[in-house]
Amino acid sequence: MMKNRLTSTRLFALLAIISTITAVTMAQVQPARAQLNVDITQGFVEPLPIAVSDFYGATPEEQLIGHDVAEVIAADLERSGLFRPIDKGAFIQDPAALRNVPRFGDWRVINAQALVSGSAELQADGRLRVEFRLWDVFGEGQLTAFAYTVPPSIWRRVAHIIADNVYKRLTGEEGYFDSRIVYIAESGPQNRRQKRLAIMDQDGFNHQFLTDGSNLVLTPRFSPSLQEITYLAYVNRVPRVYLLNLNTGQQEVLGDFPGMTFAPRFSPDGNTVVMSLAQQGNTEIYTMDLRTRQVTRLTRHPAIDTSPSYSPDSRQVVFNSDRGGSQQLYVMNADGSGVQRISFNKGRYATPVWSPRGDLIAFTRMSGGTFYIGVMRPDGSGERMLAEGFLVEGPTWAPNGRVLSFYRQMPADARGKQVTKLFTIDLTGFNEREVATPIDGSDPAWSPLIQ
Amino acid sequence: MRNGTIFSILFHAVVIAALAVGLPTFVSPLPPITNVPVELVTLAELEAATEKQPDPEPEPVAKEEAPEPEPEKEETPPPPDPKPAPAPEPEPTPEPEPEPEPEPEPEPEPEPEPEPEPEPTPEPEPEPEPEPEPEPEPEPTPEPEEEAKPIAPKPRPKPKIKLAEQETPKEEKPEEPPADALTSILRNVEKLKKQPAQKAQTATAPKVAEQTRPKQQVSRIAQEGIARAIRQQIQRCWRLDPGAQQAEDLVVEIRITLRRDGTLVSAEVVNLTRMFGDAYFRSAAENARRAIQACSPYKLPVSEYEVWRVINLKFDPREMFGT
Repeated sequence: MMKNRLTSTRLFALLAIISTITAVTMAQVQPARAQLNVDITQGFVEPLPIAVSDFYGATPEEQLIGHDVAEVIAADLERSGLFRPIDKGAFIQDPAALRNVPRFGDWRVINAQALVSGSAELQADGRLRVEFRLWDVFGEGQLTAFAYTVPPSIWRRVAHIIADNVYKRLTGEEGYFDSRIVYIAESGPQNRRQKRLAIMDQDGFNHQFLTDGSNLVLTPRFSPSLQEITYLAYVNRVPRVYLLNLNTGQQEVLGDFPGMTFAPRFSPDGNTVVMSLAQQGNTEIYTMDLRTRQVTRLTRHPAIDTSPSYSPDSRQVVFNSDRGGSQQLYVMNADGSGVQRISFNKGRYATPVWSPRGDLIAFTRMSGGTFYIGVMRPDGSGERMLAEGFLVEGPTWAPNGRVLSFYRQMPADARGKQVTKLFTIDLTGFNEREVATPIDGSDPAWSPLIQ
Repeated sequence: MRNGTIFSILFHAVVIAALAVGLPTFVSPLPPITNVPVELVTLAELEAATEKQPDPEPEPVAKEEAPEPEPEKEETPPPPDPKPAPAPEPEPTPEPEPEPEPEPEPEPEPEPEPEPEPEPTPEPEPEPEPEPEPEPEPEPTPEPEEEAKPIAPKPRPKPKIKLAEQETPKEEKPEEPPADALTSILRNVEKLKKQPAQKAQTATAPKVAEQTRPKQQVSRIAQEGIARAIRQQIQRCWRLDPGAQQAEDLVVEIRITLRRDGTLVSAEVVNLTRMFGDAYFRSAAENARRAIQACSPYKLPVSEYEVWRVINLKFDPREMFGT
C-alpha cells in the first residue's frame, strides 16, 4: 500500500522532471527564423539497391555456408521486386573486413543504400550459428541484427528468416519468405491427368509430394496454424473435403455430408472451415467448427453460392454467387446476414480471397474470353487487374498480403499439350515471376509465416 | 524498500542524464546483436513436445504409412515421411525463441513501443554527430542513373503480358475512379493503353505548395525558385513503395539543416513519436531521409543561404497515388 503510494509519487515527480526538461529543450530547439517549407510530391518507383555480402566463415565449410546463405537472402529480396541486390563483383570490402563496422564510403560508391553482412559458424555441438547485421549505408548505422543457432540442415530457413527481417526493417511490413506453398502437381495427358498434392518452400526449394496421385485432388488450402491443409479429393468419384495434418500425416474426412462439398477454406483462427455444399441442386455456404464438428448454414438462396473466404478479423465472408444473374462477388457478415454485392464489372468473378492484411480481396475474373487475376477493396472500390491470360486462376495471398500466387495455363500446342505453371505477382502488378516446379503445377495455396 | 529507493534514484539519475546529455553513443565498434536460438526441432522431438495439435493422437506409428488413411489406401510415402516434411515445421518447443522479433534491444528494431527509454539509435542524432556526411566533397549524387529517368511512375520490370488484348477500351467500368488514378504506379493490365496521357500529366505538375513567411526580406519569387530547386533535386532521390499498406497516408515531415556548401548537417523527422509507434511510418520516414542523404550536397544559390539553411520538407506521396 505504502509502497504503492511512494512509487506513484516518485513516478509523478519523474514525469514532472521529464516534461520540464522536454519543454526547455523544445524551446531551445525551436528556431527563431522563418523556415522554408517545401513539399515533395513526386518520387520514382524502383527497387532499393542493397548489398548482400557473403557471410564470413573461418573454415572453407563455413565459408560455403556463408556464401549460400547470402545467395538465398539476395534471391528472396530480389524476387520481392522491392530490392535490387548489387552484383558482388562490385564489392570493395570483403566479408572478413566486414566483421567490424563497414567502411560505409566503400558501399556508397557502389550505390548500395543498405548492406547485409554476417557470419556463419559451425559450433562444437554441431549446430550452426548464423549472425547477420543490416546497415544503413547513408545513415552509417546498424538497423537491426540477430543471431540464430540451428541444426545446419535448415540453413535455408535461417536465410529466409534473415531475408524477412531485412524486408521488415526496410519496408515496415512483415516479410513472407519463411513460408511454403502447397499446390497440385500435374502430369500426364489432358484426359488422364494425374494430380498430386505437393509442397515446397516459397522459393521452390525443398519440394516434396504429399499424395501419390491415385485419387484426384483439388483446391488445397493452408490452415493459419500451418500444421494442416484442407483439400478436396475424389475418392470413388465422390468429392469430399479432407484435412491433412502435415506433422503426423494423418488425414480425415471433414464431415460426411449427404451432397457434395467443395471450396473449403479455414477461418483465420484455424478453428473453422467454411465451404460450400451442394444438395438437391442448390449450393449453399456452410461453416464447420473443427472442434465440435457443428455445421452452420450461412446462405439461403436458390442461386449458387460458393468460394467463401473469411476476412482476417473473421467478421465477414466474401463469396461468389450468381443470384444477380451473372456470377459476382458478395460480402456478408460471418453469420450470413447483410449480404452485399461488391463487384459490378463485366464478366464473371470467381474464387475471391481476402488478403491477410485485410485491405484487399483478390479474385479471378473472366471477361471477353480472357482471364484476369485482380484485386479490389472490400467495398468493391479500387478494382485493378494484375495479371491476365488465356487461363489464369486460383489466387492465393502471401502471408504479408503484398504478393499473390496463382497459376497460368497456356493454350494447347499443336499436339494438344497444355502447360500449367505457378506464378507470383506483387500488388503493383509489375513483378510477375514464375515459380519453378518439377512438373506442371496448379491451385497454389500459400502458407502463413512458419512459426 | 531501501533497495527500491536506491534503484529508483539510480534510475532517475540515468534517465535525467540521458535526457540532459543526450543518448549515449556507443563506442564499441559493433552494436550488440540479439541472439535468437532458432531451435528447429526434428520431427521426433517436435511430436514429443507438441500437444497443441488439436488432433488427439499424434500416432507416431500411423503416420508412417497413414498419409491417406482412407481416401487413398495406397502406400503413399510422402506426407508421413518424417524427415522432410517436419523439418521446416515451426518449433512448438516452449522456448521463447521462434521468431527473431521478440527482443529488439539495441536498435529500435521491431517497432519500439513509445518507451521513454533511451535507445542507442544509430539514426541521425542531431547533436552527437554534427555531420553524418563527413565528406563535403561534391560527390556526385549517388544515383547517377536515376537522374536520367523521368521522375514519376516508371514501372520497373517490364510487364510481359500486357499486349494480350485490345478489347479493353470497350470495357466500361461503372465506377472506378480510384483505380484509374492508381494506375500510374499501380498497374492495371486492363487499362494499360490509356495510361500515357495521365502519366504525363502526373509527372508534369509538381504543384507548388511551400509557404513562405511574408516578413522575410527575400522576395517570394526567390524563395519559390529555391524551393523548386530543392524539390527537383530531392525528387530524383525519393524512392517510393507503391504497394505499401496505406502508402497514401504516409506523409512525412523532415527538417533539414544545410551547410553553405549544400551538404547536409542534419535531417530530423518532425513527428518522432510516430517513428516509434508505427513501423510503416518509420520505414517511410527513413526512406525519405535516405533520399535526403543520397541527394546531398544540394546545389543552391549561396547568396540566399539564410533562406535555405533550415528547410522543412514534407514528403507527400498522395499525389502520386492519385488520392
